[in-house]
Amino acid sequence: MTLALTAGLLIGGAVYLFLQREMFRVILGFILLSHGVNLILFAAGGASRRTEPLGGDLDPDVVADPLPQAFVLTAIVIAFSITVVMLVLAVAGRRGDDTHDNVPDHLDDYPDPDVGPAAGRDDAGLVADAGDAGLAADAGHSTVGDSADAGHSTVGDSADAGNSRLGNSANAGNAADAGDVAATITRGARQ
Amino acid sequence: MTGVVLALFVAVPLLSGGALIAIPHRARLHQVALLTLLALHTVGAVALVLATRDGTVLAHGIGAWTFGIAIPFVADLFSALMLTVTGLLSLVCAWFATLTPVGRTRYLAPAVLILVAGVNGALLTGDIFNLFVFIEVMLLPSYALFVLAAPRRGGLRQVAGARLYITVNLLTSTLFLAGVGLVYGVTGTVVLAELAGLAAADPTVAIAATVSLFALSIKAAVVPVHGWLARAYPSTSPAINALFSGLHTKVAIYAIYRIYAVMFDGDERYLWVGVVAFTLTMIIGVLGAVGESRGRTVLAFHMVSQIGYILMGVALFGPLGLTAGIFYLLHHMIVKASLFLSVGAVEVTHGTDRLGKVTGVARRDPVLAVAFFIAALSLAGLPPFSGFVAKYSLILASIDTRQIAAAVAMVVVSLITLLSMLKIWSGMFWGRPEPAPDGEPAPDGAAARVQPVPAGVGATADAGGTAGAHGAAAADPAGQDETSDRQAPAPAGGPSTAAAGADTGPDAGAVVGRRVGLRLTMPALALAAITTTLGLGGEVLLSLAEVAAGNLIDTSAYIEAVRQG
Amino acid sequence: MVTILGIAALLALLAPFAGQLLGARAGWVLGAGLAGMCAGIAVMGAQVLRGEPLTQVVTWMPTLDVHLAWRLDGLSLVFALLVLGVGAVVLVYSAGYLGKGPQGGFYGWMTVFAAAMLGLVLADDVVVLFVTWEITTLCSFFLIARSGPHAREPAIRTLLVTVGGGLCLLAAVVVMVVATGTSRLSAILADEIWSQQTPVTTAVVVLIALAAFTKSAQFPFQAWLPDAMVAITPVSAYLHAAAMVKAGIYLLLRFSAAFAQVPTWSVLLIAAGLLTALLGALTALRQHDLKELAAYSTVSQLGLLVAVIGVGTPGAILAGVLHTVAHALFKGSLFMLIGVVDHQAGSRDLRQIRGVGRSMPLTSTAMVITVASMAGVPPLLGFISKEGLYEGYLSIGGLQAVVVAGAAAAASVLTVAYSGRIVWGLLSRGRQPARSARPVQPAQAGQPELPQAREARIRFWLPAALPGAVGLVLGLAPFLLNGLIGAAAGAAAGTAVQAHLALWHGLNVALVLSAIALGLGAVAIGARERIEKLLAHRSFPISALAVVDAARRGVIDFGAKVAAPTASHAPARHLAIPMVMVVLIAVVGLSRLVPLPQVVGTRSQPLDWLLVVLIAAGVAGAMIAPTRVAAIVVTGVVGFATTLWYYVLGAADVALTQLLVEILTVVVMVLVLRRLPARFRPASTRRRLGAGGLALAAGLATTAGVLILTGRRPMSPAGQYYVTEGENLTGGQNVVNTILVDFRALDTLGELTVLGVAGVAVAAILSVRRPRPVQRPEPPLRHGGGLTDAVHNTVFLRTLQRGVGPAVLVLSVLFLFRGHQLPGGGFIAALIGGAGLALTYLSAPRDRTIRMSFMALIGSGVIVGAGIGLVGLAEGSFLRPLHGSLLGIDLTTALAFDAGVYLAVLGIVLAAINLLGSERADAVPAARWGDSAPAPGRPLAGPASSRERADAHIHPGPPDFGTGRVAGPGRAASGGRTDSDDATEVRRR
Repeated sequence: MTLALTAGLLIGGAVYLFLQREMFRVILGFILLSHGVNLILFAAGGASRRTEPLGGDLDPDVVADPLPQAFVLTAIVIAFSITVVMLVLAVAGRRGDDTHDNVPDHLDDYPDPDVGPAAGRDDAGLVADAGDAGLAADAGHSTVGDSADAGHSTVGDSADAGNSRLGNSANAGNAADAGDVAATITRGARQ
Repeated sequence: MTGVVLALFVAVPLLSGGALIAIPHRARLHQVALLTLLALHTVGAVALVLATRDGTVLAHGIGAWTFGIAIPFVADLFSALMLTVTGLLSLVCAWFATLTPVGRTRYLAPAVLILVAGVNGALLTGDIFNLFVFIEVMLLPSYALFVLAAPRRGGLRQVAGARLYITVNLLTSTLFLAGVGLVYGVTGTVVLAELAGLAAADPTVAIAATVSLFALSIKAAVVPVHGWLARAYPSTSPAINALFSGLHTKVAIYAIYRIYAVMFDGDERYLWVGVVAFTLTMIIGVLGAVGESRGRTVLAFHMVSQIGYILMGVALFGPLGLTAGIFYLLHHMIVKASLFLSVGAVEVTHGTDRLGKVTGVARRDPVLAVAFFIAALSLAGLPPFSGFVAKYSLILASIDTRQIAAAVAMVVVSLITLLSMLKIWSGMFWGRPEPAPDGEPAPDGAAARVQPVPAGVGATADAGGTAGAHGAAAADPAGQDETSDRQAPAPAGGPSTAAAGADTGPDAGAVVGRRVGLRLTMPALALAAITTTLGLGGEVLLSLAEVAAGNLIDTSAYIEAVRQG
Repeated sequence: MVTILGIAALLALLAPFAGQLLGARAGWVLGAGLAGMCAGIAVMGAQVLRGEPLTQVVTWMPTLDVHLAWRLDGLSLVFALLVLGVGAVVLVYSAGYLGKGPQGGFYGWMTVFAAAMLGLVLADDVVVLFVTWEITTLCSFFLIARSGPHAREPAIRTLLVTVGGGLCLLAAVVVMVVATGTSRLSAILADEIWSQQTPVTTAVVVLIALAAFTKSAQFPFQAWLPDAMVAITPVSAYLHAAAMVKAGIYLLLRFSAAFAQVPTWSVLLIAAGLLTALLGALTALRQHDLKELAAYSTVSQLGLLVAVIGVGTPGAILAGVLHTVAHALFKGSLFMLIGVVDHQAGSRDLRQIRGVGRSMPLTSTAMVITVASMAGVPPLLGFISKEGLYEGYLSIGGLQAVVVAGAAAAASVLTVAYSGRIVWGLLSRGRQPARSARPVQPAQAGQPELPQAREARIRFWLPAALPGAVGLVLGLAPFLLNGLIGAAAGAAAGTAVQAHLALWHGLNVALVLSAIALGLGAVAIGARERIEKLLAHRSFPISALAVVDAARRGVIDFGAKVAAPTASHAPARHLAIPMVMVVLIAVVGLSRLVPLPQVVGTRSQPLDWLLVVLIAAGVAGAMIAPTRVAAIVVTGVVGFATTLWYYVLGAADVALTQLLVEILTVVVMVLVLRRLPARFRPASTRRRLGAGGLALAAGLATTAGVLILTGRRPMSPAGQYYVTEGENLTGGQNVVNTILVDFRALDTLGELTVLGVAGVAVAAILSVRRPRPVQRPEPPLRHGGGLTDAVHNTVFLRTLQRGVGPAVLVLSVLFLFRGHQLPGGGFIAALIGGAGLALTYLSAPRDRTIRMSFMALIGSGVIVGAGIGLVGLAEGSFLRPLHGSLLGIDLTTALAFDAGVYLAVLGIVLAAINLLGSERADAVPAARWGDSAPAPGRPLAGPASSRERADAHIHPGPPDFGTGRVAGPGRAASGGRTDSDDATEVRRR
């Protein structure tokens, strides 16, 4: 009963949390979820037998089923690994860990070559890629020069753009946002 | 061949994957190692097919513990076929990936290898908890690959997609684990062979197992839990997208086939649920596809639709149905990957897969056009490609079992499938009509076969379009030289793109001017060739599928093999 | 027969090359090829006419009992001859028609088309029939689409319509196969199931009819055919005369043997046929473009054919076959001649080519002959076949006969009328041909501009005129056809039919009808001006094209709606649906509950309730926590409570692991936390309620599930086995650990892989996308001093760490070794070590990365794990533990395996700390190259160095930004982003 109840509580809380908007809460939800499921595994072994499966001559009637314990050990560690990955994703977004920061549709694509400053940056990216693979670096040189400026020019207005757009100082303060937003706006104007 | 060797399908990729993680990055070395290992894997899998093609089942308890304790690895013809196609696909997709920017990161090779190890494990294991573990083993590298394949804009879309992808998959596998727990709670075992028939006999087992099956069907993107797939997959890079389409959902489908065959013993009582769900999956999926406006999103939605077809095989449980289903499964893995690769090739070159933005590809890359069109027709189930054999046998099966509604759905859906394929075709390969159409017209296999990429074609085509010629002139040499001469693992898209951007500057003509080129086309073409062969020479695979189906219907051989193993 | 088909396939394979090399001239070669095959078929035909059909079978897909079965009987013979004969002529004609330049595409598709048609009419297996049917569809699509951008929409419409029909055929095929148990066409037709009126029969009849209607452009599918006129003339000629549209007629004739008696069949065919005939003829009257006119005339003629097949009496079938031949001849000829005119005069618009005929006598003579045949003027074949048609219609008998024949006669009147328009337009006096503004045929590119149309070269108009001429000959000597047509009709009707074709059938109703038709037709010609005016403004009420397009758009829009609900990357929506389904499953499960076995023992103990309360509190807290820190804390509480639970349940290892995992999770969370806003944004009420409700349901479902499905059996046999046998099998006393490293080592191998790869994934993510910068950078990093100095704040921790650090490591190693016997093992040990590292990191005066390559650690962990497993193969199985003793200490490979685990765990902990720990991005290259400091040994050509070169170009800025560049395609954008970081920081100061 108690075990079942606990599992219920955990999974209930988990569902509530991972239906929230912030990635962070989603992650917490999944942490609770794994707790809940682990307890289900324990219950599957039988909650009535609780002696540690340790040492010699054990009595199967009182000793806890070791198999679920092994399962849970595995499950815990796996859950931990994924949690770490998700936490990193939480900070890789544009607007913090808000899962609603879907990209404006026209930003989805790779940029087209015919879209002003953005283009400079992207080609720079390409050439740099090439350089990465050991391509003659000077090939990159010329393009890159202006590309950098392009990058700056974009950013020039970005911060205010960010302010006006998001009105949220934390976000505007975050240059990453500003950068993207600026791009959004320049593109938007072109659309 | 004995069951002992089965473990190698997991051990070798794991070991090499670990090695590639540990050593510092050498692009060439990583790529070579990756492709060689995948090729080896494919060869081994073919050997396995030969060993099991008479219906024999190989099994081995890992660690040589007794039955019920050891985790059994089991290979019958079905798993062998899956292994083969898995190897083939990962090989081709990896090949494609090495031609794209993704291929030059240090993460690709190890991640793909470990992914394959996970897939193999999931296909071979006969223990449902171990299945959970291997599903995770294939998921984690996928997370790496998913974002790794960030496009030049820094992957905002990737992050959004990855969040969705990871959360859904985590929920899925956690649910699956819960199901496993409940099954253990009722039966006291997680070894499939010991669970044989229990779900059919005892409703409580059935409920417990249903939780796991449901989890798997989330992974397989069955309506109504399909939405994530169509959103997540297109967010990753073309190469990875193709790889995932070939491996992930298919493993889930395989598991559903296996579990329903063994645990439920093909119980008729529950089949109707499947028929309904999978018919809906077919319809909703294709409708979603036809409504989309990006090449890869359309294709991703098609996966949903096609998954409906594939799973229908298990819902029509029986010799014909299962044969059709298995054939369909294998056919679809190949065709869908081919489609993703050909559209992906366009995307890698031109920077977008939005329909109508890139135009007239067929004119500049006839070979690619042929590859795409073959795969598209095959997907729609038109002869003489493998899709037709698959669809015909499946419809035959459903009429045979008096599932008229399902059959009608299949027929109608394939028309809509064609419609949406034409949407991609005219939105990307034809695009906006260009003036003065002379030279070799658009979808022209002949020209392709005669002069693979006639430099003339591109030029003559663009001569019509104003600045296009300039673009082509600027892009082509750059593309040619740099890719072929100077650079070892050439990003076929990369340099030519850069050159076009740098030389022609902002100029719409540049987009029209670029060419995908043969190197990026070959992978898709190879798969297209396979689907054609499977269409004309369908019998080979059909007979194999029939044997595999036999193993699913009469599971005694499977169980016996595990007991002995 | 197979040989001929083989040759056809070969030809189709070679055609593109021929076309590429020889250009237009390839037409001669290929035409000769088809002619040769035609002759071959004719030779075989001799035997067929003696009444013994040829059959040949090649195995194809025995699994599905589908074979490449071929059968040449009278009907197939007639169609085969048409397909090949007309095909040959058209190809030869193309040689004259096409312009310079390679023509691989055109000839390729044309020959494939011919081959497919041949296969279609010879197929004796319904599946093969379907395959060839679809191939012809595809060929027509490409042939139409080839003729330029303006042809694309029509091509797509054609494809959709015909494929739709094809799918009907497929459905019919499957039903027939299931119903009769065979896919052999002849067997299916012979099956008696069709005689009894079952729903199956009706279904098949309707499906076959639909398939044929789409292919033969019958109402309501007639639209695609004129629409497809954009194709170049040779294509149209072939499509109309012998190929495509005739496939539908063939299908109907083929199945009429089985279905003639089915009422649905007759009604469908006659109704649709006559309606089409009238509509087509009427529309033809309004056309000015000769090709369009001819197209509608085809539609109308096919209508007459379909109707007569619907009648189904032997006589009717006979007429049907005859008229098919006649139509093939005159229509093929007509199209090609139109092509000639168009080619010479530069236009095919009746209003522009007025009188051109006078300047090209030969062409116009031929044209007149064919048109006359079309109008049913004696002594041409068209007349005889028309007569036959009338007799066919009349053979129904009764009132229907009158109606049907009347309708047919009306159609013929119109036929005569529009035929007249052609002749008139060509020959009547008028102004000289005006060059049209329309884009001219590519073929004309080479031609010198002519002041007026000149007679075409002989090799151009001769092939065009040929079929018409044949029609004339056969009209004069119809008895030549008796045997052939008779055999064909016999094959189609299923009973022996004797044909007595003659010009003069004596004075009968048919003759009268013909006379009337001609007479009224002549009148109509006279009144053509008025008729044209009359019809000019009447357009067909519903344009079928519009319908097709509307359907297409409709489906697409509807599709968009269907996709909309899931059109979001936000996980919430995609996670909610599965949970709803789970609850649903639970409800269904509860609804069909069966008596359950008794619960074994007592499941709960008093102490448990404490934990329940603790957890409840924690969960509640986690749900309402307004800030991220608070949320972490309460979740931590839940975690520790769960740990207690594990302990209470007798799982020391699990509890220990959980504890350590909690610690590490919190560490990582803290690292992340610095980069996120402090507070959560308040969730909308809607979301709160929705989530809450679902949460409640899910919770209840879980509790119920656990209560019902667990704790009702004694310990599992496996569990007992471990408990009893575990020690003497593995020498380990810690049963759980023995399971982990011995019995189920495979799970553990997977687990350590997962752990390691997670580290790789983290590195990968951060390599394409920098983490958001720390929100409130710690002052010491910018300007030291003051109370805020972390360096001083961490003094205590550091002194502690100095002592604890090593101790922790020792401890972890200890745990590693004792794991097999007592709580411990690789994971626990490594987690302890990881905790130690974390401590070292936290206590450090400033963010610093621990100089150790986590990639190497992870890699070697996986290697050790898998490697040890392979060693086990020596003992006969993967992961089989080996036992041995070194210096008296009993060692097992399981220990080494645990070591592998240890490495992997350490790896990911390091990864997290290194990658997220440092404010600067210079840890990221460590992620890429596996070690933070570029190894001196690496050759300069190595990726790293060249990368840095490239980076240096991008960012002449501070070096840490330079090395901060990340791998892969993500770099460019984040490059821009770095600059912006820079810029805004400047702005902030």
